[in-house]
Amino acid sequence: MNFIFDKNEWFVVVASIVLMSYIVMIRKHFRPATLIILWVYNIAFIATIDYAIAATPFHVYDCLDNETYEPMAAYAHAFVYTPYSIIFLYYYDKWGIRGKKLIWYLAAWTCYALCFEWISLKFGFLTYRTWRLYYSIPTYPIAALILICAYRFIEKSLAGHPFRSGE
Amino acid sequence: MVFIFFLLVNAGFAFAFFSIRKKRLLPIEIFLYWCLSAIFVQNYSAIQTMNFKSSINPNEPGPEFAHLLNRTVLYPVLGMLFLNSYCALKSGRMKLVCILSFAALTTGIEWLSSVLGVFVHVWLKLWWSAAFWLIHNLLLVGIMKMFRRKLYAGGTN
Repeated sequence: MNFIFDKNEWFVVVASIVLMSYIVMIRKHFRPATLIILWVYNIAFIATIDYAIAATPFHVYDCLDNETYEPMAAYAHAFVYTPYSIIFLYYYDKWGIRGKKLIWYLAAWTCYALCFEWISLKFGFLTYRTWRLYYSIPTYPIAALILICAYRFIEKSLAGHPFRSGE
Repeated sequence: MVFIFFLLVNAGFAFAFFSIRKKRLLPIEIFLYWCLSAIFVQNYSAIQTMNFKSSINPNEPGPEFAHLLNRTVLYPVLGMLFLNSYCALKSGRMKLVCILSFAALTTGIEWLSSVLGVFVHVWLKLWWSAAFWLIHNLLLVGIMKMFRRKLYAGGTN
């Protein structure tokens, strides 16, 4: 497995602590069930995309130190990428982002995600084989739109069920 | 060729599940359990192929795309068929038979994918696969029960 705890692992740990602290502050905005389902959905989505792109069938980048599946990659799926999605949805809801505002909101988040990806490269969290940073430009807004659809579906499905909000 | 074969298998099982008129699972449950099943299967596959090297996914487009399809559609949809059947049964004995039967069916499909060169077992024993699918099914049942308790009891548990 060749697992070494070095700067890229520290990068993941620090990023996850910052993001998870933020999630603790905003968690009451969501129903507990919504939060759980969103979490599971995000892990499944990211794991699927990451596995397909980093491993089979595309092999375009490596995640962390080598081409094996490291525990820290699974940790990042759950505690780095997923909190980003929750924060994205929090402001999407809070600021009532609809229509033209959505385009600007997606553009801003795409810029932010590209910056984070660039920092990830500098810390060695990602190592490109044939992938390029600009390939990610269309992928972030598409992933964000799918996330919004999933969120609306979850909210609509749970609307008729008696979960206690804020629990 | 192998991709076309698994495309048809995936489509067949997906059709079998989505054509059930009176499903025992709510749409939100299907969404949640599908995602969970995909997480379990992909972690199982990634660990076997990338770390333990107990299985390989040949470096050719056909088997690679077939495997992508299987881990995101076929195995989760088999999980949904299993949960739907499990919910339809009343007696504990029949539920046990259902758990074992679906574990055997999924193990059979994994064996078929190995024989056809998609997820090729190098030194992975078939009974390890059977154990994984049994645990997968038990986990799905456990999570379904917890989720339903929460869903129908007003979130007090």
